[in-house]
Amino acid sequence: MKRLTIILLAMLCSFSLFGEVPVRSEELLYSIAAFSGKDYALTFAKEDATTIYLYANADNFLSMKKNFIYYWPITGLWMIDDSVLDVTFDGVMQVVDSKGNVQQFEEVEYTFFNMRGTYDNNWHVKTGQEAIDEWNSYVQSYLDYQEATAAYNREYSAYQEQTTALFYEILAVREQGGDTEALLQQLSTLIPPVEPAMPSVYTVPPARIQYGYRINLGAGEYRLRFIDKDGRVMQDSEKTIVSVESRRSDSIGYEIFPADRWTMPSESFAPSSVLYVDGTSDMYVRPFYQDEFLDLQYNKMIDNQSSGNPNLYRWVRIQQVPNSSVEITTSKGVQVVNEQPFMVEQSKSTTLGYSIVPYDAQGVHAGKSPSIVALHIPLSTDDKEISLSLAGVEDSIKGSSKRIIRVITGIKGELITVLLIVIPLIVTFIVRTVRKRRLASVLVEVS
Amino acid sequence: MKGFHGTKVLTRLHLKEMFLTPAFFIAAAISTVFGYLPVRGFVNSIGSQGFNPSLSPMFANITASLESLFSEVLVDTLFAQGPFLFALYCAYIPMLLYICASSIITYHFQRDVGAIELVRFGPVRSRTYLLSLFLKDLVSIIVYIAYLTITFFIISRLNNLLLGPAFIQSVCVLAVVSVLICAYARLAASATSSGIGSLSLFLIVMISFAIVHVGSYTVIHDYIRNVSTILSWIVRWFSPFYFVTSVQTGLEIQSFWMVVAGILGILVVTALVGFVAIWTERHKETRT
Repeated sequence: MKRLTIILLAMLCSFSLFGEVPVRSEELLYSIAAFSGKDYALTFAKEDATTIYLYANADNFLSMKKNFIYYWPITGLWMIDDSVLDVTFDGVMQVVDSKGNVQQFEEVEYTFFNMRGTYDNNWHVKTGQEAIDEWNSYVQSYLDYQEATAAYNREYSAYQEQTTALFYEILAVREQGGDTEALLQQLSTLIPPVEPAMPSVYTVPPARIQYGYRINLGAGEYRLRFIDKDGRVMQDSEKTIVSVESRRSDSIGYEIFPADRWTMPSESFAPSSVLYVDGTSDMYVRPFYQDEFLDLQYNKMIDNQSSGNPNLYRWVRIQQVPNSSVEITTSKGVQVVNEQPFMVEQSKSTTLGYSIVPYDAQGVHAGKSPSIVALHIPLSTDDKEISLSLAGVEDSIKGSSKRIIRVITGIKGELITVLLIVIPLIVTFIVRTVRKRRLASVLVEVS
Repeated sequence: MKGFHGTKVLTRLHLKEMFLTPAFFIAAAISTVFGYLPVRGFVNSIGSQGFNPSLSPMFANITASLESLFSEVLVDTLFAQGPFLFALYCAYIPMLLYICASSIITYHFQRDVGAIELVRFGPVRSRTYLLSLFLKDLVSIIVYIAYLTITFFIISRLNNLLLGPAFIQSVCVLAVVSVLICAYARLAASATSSGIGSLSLFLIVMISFAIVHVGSYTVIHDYIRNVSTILSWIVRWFSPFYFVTSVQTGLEIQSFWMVVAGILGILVVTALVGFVAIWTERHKETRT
């Protein structure tokens, strides 16, 4: 019995040694660099995915690959494992439209990278020789930086050696009671070398040159297939492409930063929507252009495994409106507010808060980047309604940029509300009382 | 006493019957409470960064459920102009169900006691009787919607909230779609011989329409959504929910023809359902 218990315990313990290992399977995949209206999203279509969603009239890059994939339960997503198997197929991609017209796409070299813009980070894609040039330029700038860093390190070592030697010389002269003035002057004239700056053009550097098929299609539905080198359609390569177009575009949305929670912005997408706030702190807004897409199509475009609502449209932020200004209408009149840089300063008091102050590039904030570039909307609990719209833009854009801000200070007039709700009960009470009296008087008359 | 005059007299009689009993008023008060609760929750969910459902436990649950069922987009759209659009649905749906159910029960009660037969052998035909009940339902709904709109308007003024264009549009759309729902109530009343049967049939039809329509909007499972989308494509031509969505989408994207097509669709299907209800009633008449 004792033995059996030990064996059972040992078996139980052994189960914990074998954790759940994700099962890998070999699959034919479409690797996709999909344009999403503002940047490039990297996704892939599994063998059982019937449809690939691409942005209409924009360059998207597809390639045919064979990799291992495995299910990662933590994220609930299928992942690619290209460490063991990574085969890219050569051939031709064919796209057939609803009328049966066939478009053929050849493989091109491409790279993509993200550059820091004034307002948003911007993804770029380059193809062919441009891609090679961009990659070479990046590699060159990186090598230059490495070379400059090595030179800097050498110069800095020499500088340190010089200063150390002078320092000991000064000490020795002092011990002997000599004059150190000339040596001190020499020390002060020694200038340390300047550290080279890292290349800051890219926020994400160009990817190593890749090979893919540049697909640029008008809005609609297409059939996609891959033709191998032997001119045969590759098995399981046939998919549907839905080329997605926005239903409405160039509408205006707002990113809203409350002054007391500037790290927790909210967004206002729906045109002519109302922003309800409690008026306890000012507001900073950043207008952006937005396009409207079907929820499911857009989600699938940026991640083929994701889901979404096939019947509801959603607004997608495209880019911040550059150098914006808004017209603010309050009970006191109309005021135009221009975009300004601001700095978030940590409070020096014990309250551990912060304050948002105008950015002073020449003064206290010299050498620092502004924390936020936005439009400042002052608010107070005395304001009941403020309306805002973009200034200096076309009428169609201005129309979609209108928003109303209403300051709500808790629930009010509950007694009146209760009275309104019980009105039907009062009415029925009156009706019944009147009827009873009438009936009573009729009965009296009859008797 | 036939045709228009008969309908008018009977409608007035039904309305009098309804307004003299307290049930309609109690239902109206309860439905309005259902509508007011989301408004209250919304006001309590407003912080410095705007509408934040997590500030109110009730709203946190409501929005979380709606988001998981339909996606965040629906929640954003629903509360874009304030709480009244959601509140309108919360108040309108129970009241509409009450009015239709009470009308079905009234019909069967009067039929069981022989009142309809008596009227039929007298000056009024049964289709006139059906039409009068249908008009009574419509008038009751319009009275309730008017009361609800006034109540919400006063609440909005008291709390500095905005009813919003979407609310006004929805009030009109719901008033129009009520015509079709009341027609279905009449058809359900005529289709079976017992009150419980009619009521069950009406609820089953409405719930089926709702499930199929809502199912096509859900994001929970691709399979459910795909099946719902196919079913919805078949049944949508008879579904009040499809026409409501169509008209509202038309209003949202300012497509005049979409709105007109939606309203025409409601009226055509109402006429069709009405004819079937009258035909069923006459068929029963012939048999008896």
